[in-house]
Amino acid sequence: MDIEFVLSIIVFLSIISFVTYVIISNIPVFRTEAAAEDIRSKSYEISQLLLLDKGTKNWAKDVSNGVPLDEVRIGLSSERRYVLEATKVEVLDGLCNDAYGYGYKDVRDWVFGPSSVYDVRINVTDGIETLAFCGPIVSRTQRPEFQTVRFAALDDGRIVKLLVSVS
Amino acid sequence: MKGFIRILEAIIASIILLTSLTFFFKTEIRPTEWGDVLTKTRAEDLLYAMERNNTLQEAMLANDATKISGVIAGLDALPPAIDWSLRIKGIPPPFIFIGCSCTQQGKTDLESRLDPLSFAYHGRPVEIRIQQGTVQELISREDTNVLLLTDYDPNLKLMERELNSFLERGGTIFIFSDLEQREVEDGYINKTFGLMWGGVGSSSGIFYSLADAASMKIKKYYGAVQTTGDSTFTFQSISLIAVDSRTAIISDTGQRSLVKTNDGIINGRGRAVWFADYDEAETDVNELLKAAVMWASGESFRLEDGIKRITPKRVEVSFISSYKSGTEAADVYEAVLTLWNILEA
Repeated sequence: MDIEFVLSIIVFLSIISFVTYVIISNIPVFRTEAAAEDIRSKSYEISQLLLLDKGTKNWAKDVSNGVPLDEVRIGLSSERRYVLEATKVEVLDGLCNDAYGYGYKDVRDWVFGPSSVYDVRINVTDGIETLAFCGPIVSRTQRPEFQTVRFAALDDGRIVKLLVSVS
Repeated sequence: MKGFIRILEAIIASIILLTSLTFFFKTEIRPTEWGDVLTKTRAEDLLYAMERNNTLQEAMLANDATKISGVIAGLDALPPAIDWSLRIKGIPPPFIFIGCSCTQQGKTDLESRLDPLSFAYHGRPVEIRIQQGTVQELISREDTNVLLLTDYDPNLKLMERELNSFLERGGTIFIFSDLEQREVEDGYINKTFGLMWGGVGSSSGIFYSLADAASMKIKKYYGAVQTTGDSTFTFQSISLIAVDSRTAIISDTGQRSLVKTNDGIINGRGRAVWFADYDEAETDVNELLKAAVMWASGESFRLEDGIKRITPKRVEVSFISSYKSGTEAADVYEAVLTLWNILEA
């Protein structure tokens, strides 16, 4: 066989291998970045919904009255932008702590959908005490997590901090 | 030999190819702007939350920044490296610092005209503090809101650079004196104050109904501080200043300015007021002078603990709201919250 032919095959294969290697080595970096962007946007989106949306009509009332619900859009806002209803915050806390026959899993399914792999932790505090906590009992610590911090006034005059973590 | 050259060609070609492919396939991840977005969101949330639960209004009414810092610290609202500053715009500051380039007698006379120096405006305490000194001294002070001259100063043109720097910082030059034609046309007064010689008519003045926002604000402030109910003001002026949209007080015959304003003089900042001479016994004109000083204050102040140095890289959010104190009429203001990273100072 001609030595030139052998060499050109070697050069060709080297280039193909190099290009494949470069593309493959980039994939994990892009995937990690895309996943991080995904949880950042999910966390922000949930915080927006909780803070600025009133949620499904009468959801807090229905939940506390034991009305069976398939799907709820949880929103803590009152009629006024940036003012949360204290009763809704209280119901959210009870909702996640099995007070009304529902639990964290239901809340997670309502937020992300039943087939989702994400976890969410919602914490509402006035700086002194935790007014509502909603999260899994056991955290999957190996997963990347992103937290969004928001602030709003409660309808009883307090200012609260809302922390939404998605992992 | 021919074969060896071909091999060399192949190697050079492969090096060129690999180098160019490295350029096209390099990993490039552009940094996201989540950091700035979340800082801006924090600032906006805090501002709205404090407005909704009245912390902002209470802090403004009492001029007490600790109410705001209390909320921020209590909620652990900002990371340790982030500092804040709150600016209120559209209402007079709690302290108006007048730098008076005048004699001791001139200062006493001014204090008498503006008496009481401490008063309430829409439920908020406002205090006028007058400091006497030379123009150079007064404009170099950080806290001077208003440089007030009780007489024409021919050296103003020579100090134009320093005065422009003072105006650019948001200061106001206030001339409370009659001016002659040559003084108006000295190349500085006409440019900075927007004055033009050429008015005629009486020295009795009224608010100019076709004027711009500045005149409307002076009218509003006069309404809040006046005690006489008068709306016709008697001046004793020889200055014949022409009328334009910056005229605040126009002669009742409609052909002469008696109080005139100008703003946005240097890069959109800085204000100027010319106020014609009048008899000190005219209580209503004294109150009009106070209203003009309130506008001249720049209607902007910072509500924060201590003096903070804001870095050029910062996040700023603002909104317009109104406050109400008891039975007083509501007043509109703009709150601007600025956050910045102190490590980037």
